[in-house]
Amino acid sequence: MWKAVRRSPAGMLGWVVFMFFVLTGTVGQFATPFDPIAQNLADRLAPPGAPASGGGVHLAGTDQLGRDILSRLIAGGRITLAVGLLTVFVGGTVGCVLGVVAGYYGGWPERLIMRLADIQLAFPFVLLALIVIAVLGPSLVNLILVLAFTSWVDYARVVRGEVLSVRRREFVEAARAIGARDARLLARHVFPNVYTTIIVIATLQLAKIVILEASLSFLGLGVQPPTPDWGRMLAEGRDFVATAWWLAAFPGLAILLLVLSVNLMGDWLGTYLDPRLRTLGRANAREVSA
Amino acid sequence: MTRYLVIRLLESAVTVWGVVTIVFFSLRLTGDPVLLLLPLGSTPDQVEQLRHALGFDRPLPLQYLVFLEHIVRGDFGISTRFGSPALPVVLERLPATMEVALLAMLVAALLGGAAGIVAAMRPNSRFELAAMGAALLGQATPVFWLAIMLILVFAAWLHWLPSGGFGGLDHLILPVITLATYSSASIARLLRASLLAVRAQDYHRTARAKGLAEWRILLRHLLKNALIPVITVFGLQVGLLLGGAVITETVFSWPGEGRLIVQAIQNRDFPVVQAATCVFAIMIIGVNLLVDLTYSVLDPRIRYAEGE
Repeated sequence: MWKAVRRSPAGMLGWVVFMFFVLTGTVGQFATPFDPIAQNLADRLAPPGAPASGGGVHLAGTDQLGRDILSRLIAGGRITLAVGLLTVFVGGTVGCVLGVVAGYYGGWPERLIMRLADIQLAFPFVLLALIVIAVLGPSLVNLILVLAFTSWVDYARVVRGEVLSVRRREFVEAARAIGARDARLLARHVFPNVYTTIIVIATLQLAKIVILEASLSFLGLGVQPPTPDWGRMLAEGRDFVATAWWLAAFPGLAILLLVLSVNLMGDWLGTYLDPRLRTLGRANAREVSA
Repeated sequence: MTRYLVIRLLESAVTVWGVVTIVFFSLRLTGDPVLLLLPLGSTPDQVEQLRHALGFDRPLPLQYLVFLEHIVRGDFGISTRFGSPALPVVLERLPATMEVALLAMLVAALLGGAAGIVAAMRPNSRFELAAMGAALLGQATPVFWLAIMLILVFAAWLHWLPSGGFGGLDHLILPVITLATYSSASIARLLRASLLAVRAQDYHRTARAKGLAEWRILLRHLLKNALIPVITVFGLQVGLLLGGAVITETVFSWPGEGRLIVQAIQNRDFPVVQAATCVFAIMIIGVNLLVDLTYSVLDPRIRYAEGE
């Protein structure tokens, strides 16, 4: 695996940047240069690189309440990653189970699940989240539930398709012929053939969710203050964009970098995990670097 | 074909019904919608009065049926903020949203299409690297951040373009760029991948062996086959574009559907939310129906003679 990472510079870049975000999101919490929620009105709207009145330097400047932006970025990354990963877990589990049920058993459960998926797809992503959050009230748990609720469809559709094609293959028929039960068939024969696809979708979903979470916070329906959050920081910085660009620029840049790294990882995983593409060798590396 | 069309139309109707049902029950989730409509500190009498007037004292299944019956007649109730029927309020804003969304789709198709084609026809070139790099960036850029940065550069620093509001062509440029970026990037990446896959096929080699000009092969043999996945995604993009419109219009104070919805949700103007959601859903379902029908034109193997 390490060899394959080295062969694709873009894939490697994705991993490195993502691991950097994971590190700052976990360990970095305890080493922020300033307290992320401490206000210091003497230092408000200080530009990047300005010295702090209590000593030290505000590397990314301060916001309208004199809070250090770099510290808030580090603290906000934890929320973004936690919400993203939890959502991928919840949405992925629900989506995969429904996809397997639809693909493996067919019949009315399949029709019901696929119709639900169609209904969901007819809802603009943001709109559904907006309505549910507006009704349930903004909180971290509601945020994760809503995001998970909007993300199960992708898993369910793809997993169903994969299960459909695997189900008819000879090795599954053979296993059934020697008397294997459904649970065993699914766990030993179907799942190993679909899990790579699931990992790739999960990566792409993570990227999508990071942006959606920031969008909801941007609209004031996500993480609530004083918890630092990238989307929220952007929304607050919007009012100062003409005089203090760093308020909005840095949180957006953080989102962009995180999403970009996750997408690069996803592209790389897609080619690495798909044996059909892996055998292409050179073409594979090019595919990922593009 | 007719049979297929009828089936698809029925399916679409079921989907619209599903959306309407979700909207109805999601707004009942918190319990009493009447409390949301009244100002804080209303007396229990006022609450009871309004509940009766709006029919919320009836059993839920009955409310649901009445709601459905009204919707079929295009009656979504009275907007609490505008004091007029909700559906006209929503439809009034539609042209402004369509203006931006259609232009953005056009830009995305042209820009993404051109970048995707050139990247696939000139693999390993500097252009491919630049185009695909830009596409990766475009896919990772949050819409609202792009909007704010465009305002910062073109409105606040350079003073070339207005920072928002409704007006002439100059007011359209920034919202359209904002909205088109993600779609252009997806289309470019997908079209490139799909063209590369088609180029590996035997008929492409045959066409080359016959000595056909490269651009002729592209038009007659490659694009037709490579466009199918792109068109599917284009259909799905409509949903994304409308979702993106919610944020773009909020940032640029564009008086369209998206901003209306955000304001309606903030004001708890639920009739407007319901009407707008249904209008969006019908548009998305309609476009995807069109997309499915386009397949049969592009690929004669898909004819839908036997239904699905």
